[in-house]
Amino acid sequence: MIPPSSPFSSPFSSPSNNEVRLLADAVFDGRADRASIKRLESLITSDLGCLQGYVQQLNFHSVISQMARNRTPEEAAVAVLQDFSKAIRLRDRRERLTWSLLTAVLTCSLLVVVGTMVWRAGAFRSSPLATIASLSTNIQIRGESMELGRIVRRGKPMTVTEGVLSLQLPHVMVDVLGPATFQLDGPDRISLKTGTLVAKVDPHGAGFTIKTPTAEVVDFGTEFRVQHLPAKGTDVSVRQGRVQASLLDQLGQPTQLLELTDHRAAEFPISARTAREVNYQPQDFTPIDRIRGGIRSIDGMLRTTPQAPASLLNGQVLTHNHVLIIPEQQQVVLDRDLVLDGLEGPTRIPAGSSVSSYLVHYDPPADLSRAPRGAVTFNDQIAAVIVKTADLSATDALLGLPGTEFESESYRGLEFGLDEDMVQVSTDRHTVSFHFDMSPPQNLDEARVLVVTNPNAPRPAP
Amino acid sequence: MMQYWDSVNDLFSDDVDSSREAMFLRQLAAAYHDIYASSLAIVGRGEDADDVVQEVCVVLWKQYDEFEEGTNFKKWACSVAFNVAKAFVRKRRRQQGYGLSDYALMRVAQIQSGGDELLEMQRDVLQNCMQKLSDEERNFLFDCYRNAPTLAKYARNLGMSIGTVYSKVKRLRRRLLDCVQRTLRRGETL
Repeated sequence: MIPPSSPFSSPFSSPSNNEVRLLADAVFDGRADRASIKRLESLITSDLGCLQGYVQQLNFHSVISQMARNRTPEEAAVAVLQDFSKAIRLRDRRERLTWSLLTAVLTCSLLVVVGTMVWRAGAFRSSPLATIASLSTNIQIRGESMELGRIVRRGKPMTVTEGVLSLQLPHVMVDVLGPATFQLDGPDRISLKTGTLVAKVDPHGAGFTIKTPTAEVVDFGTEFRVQHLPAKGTDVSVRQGRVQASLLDQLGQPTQLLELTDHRAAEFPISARTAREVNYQPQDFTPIDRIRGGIRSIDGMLRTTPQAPASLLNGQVLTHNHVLIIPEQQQVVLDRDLVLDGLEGPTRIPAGSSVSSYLVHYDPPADLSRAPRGAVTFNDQIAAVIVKTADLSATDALLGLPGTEFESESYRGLEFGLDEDMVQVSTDRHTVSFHFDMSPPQNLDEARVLVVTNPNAPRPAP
Repeated sequence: MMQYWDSVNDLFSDDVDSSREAMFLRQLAAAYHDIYASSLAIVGRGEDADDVVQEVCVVLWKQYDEFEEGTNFKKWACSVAFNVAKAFVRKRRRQQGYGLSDYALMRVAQIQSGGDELLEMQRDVLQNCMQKLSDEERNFLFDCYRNAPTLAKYARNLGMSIGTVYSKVKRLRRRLLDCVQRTLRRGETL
C-alpha cells in the first residue's frame, strides 16, 4: 500500500503539484476536457506527490460539500436513501403510466387526456404536512398567494417577507414572523434559514424540532421562540416547558447541549464555539401575543392584525373582504363578577376568572356586495360573546385595547333577525363562527369574544 | 438499478426488523463522510459523486446480510464505494471517449484508503479555517457547492457571469487551502 503523505507536508509546493490542484478543481467542477484529463493522468501516474495532492484536493472538496449541505451524517444517509427511493418510485410510476397511456390511446383518446391531467395533478407533489391556520392582514409571502386552510408541503422553502403566518402541524402550532425563510422537513421538523418562529407544542407533539444553521432545538411539550439571523446566530427563548438546544458545528454536528426550562433563554452565536445562557426577555413574545393571543386557528375570511388600531370608529379601519380579529387585554383577572347580556342571554363571569378578550371588527366599504363568513377557534373555552352596543361600550375600558378609540353609536353591535348577522358558538365552546350582514348606510359591526384562560376558575353562569 | 427497488422499500417499510434497520443507518451515518470522500476521489466530479453515493448506499443495504457483524463497516462500505465509483467512471469513459485509466483510479484508491487520519485532520482544520471567511464569503461558497449542477443559473440570478463566479470561488478555495496548509505546518491540533 502506498502511504499517505504526512499531514504536515505541503502537497502543493511544486509547480506541478499546483497544476494538479487546479486540474482537480476543474474535474470537481465538471470543467475538465480531454486534454486536462490526459495531463492529469500523466502527472498522477508518474509523481507520487501529484497523486497525493490530487487526492487531498478532492478530499478538500468533499469536506466543503458536506459543510455546504449543513446536515448531520445521519440526516445525509437517510436523505440519500429516501431520495433514491423517491426517484425509483417516480420512474416506476412513469413507466407504468407510459403503458397505461398507450393502452388508453388505443381505446379512448379522451380518457388519456383526463388520466394524464389527474396523474399530473398528484404524482409529483410531496406529502402535505401542515395547513395555514392564520394570516395577519399585512401578510406578504414571496411568490405565493396564500389562503387560510391551504396545505403546506414537505421540502418547499417559503419566505414570509412581512406579517405573521401561523401553521398548524400535528400537535404543534407554529407562528412565522416575517421576514423569515423556512422549510417543513417533516411533520415534526422545521428548518429555519432566517427569521423568527414561535412554536406551541402540546404534550403529544414532544420531539418537535426546529433546526437553524447553528442550533437544533428539540421540544418536550412547551412554548418557545427561535430566532436566527445569519449575521448573528440563533437565539432560543422558552416561555413554558422544556427544550433541549444543541450548538451545531459547520458539519451540522452537535457540539454542546443546553437544557432550557420556563423563562430561560440562550444564544448560539455564529462566530463563537460555545452557546451561553442569556437573560430571558418576555417581550420577545409580545409581537405574537399581540397578533394571535390564544387563537388556535382561523377559518374563512378572517384576519389578525399586527398593530393595535388607534381608532375603531366607523369608517376608520375598513375590512375589504374579511373580518378582523383583534386580541385585546389578555388574562385579566376579574376583581368582581362580570354580568352582561351576551349572545346566549344573560351571563355572569365570576370574580377571580382570568379572561382574555378578542374584538371582532367588520367595517366593509359601501360598495361591497357579499359579506364574508368565518370562524375562529381558541385554545381555551369561550365564556361569552358580547354582541350589544351597550355591553361592548361597558367593557371597553376593562377589556379593550388601551388607547384605542371605540365607536359608541347604536349600530356598533350586531343586529339579529331574518337575513341579518349570524354568530354561533360551537358545542365544545372553543369555536365561534360569524356571518355578518350589511346594514347600510353604517356597515360597522363588532362583537367581543371573552375566553376564560384559567380552567380552574369558577364557570360562567347564566 | 431497478432490482434495488424492493430492498430500498424494505428499509422504509413497517415490516423491516427495526433494530437491523437502526443498526444499518447508524453504521451508514458513521461512515457517510468517508463513503462520500471515497466516491468523490474516484469520480472526481461533485455532481457525479452524489449519484454514486446514492447507489453505494443502496448496494450496502442490499448486501447488508453479507456484512459480518463485528468487522469494520467503514472499510467494507468504502471498498463498495470504490467499486461502484469505478464502474461509474468506466461507463462514463466509454460514453465520453476519455477519462482516467483503471491504473490511475487504482492508485487514487490506494492513497485514499490509506488516508483516514489525514482526511479527519483536514476536516477539522478546514472547519476552523472556514470560520475565518466572512459570513458573506462562506454563504457564497456554500451556495456554489450546493448549486453546482445549476451554477450558470445561479450566476445569472446573482447578476454575475459564470466566469466571475468561478474566479471568486477559486480565490476563496485558495485562501482556505493556504489556511489549511499553514495550520498543518504549525502542527495545530485544534
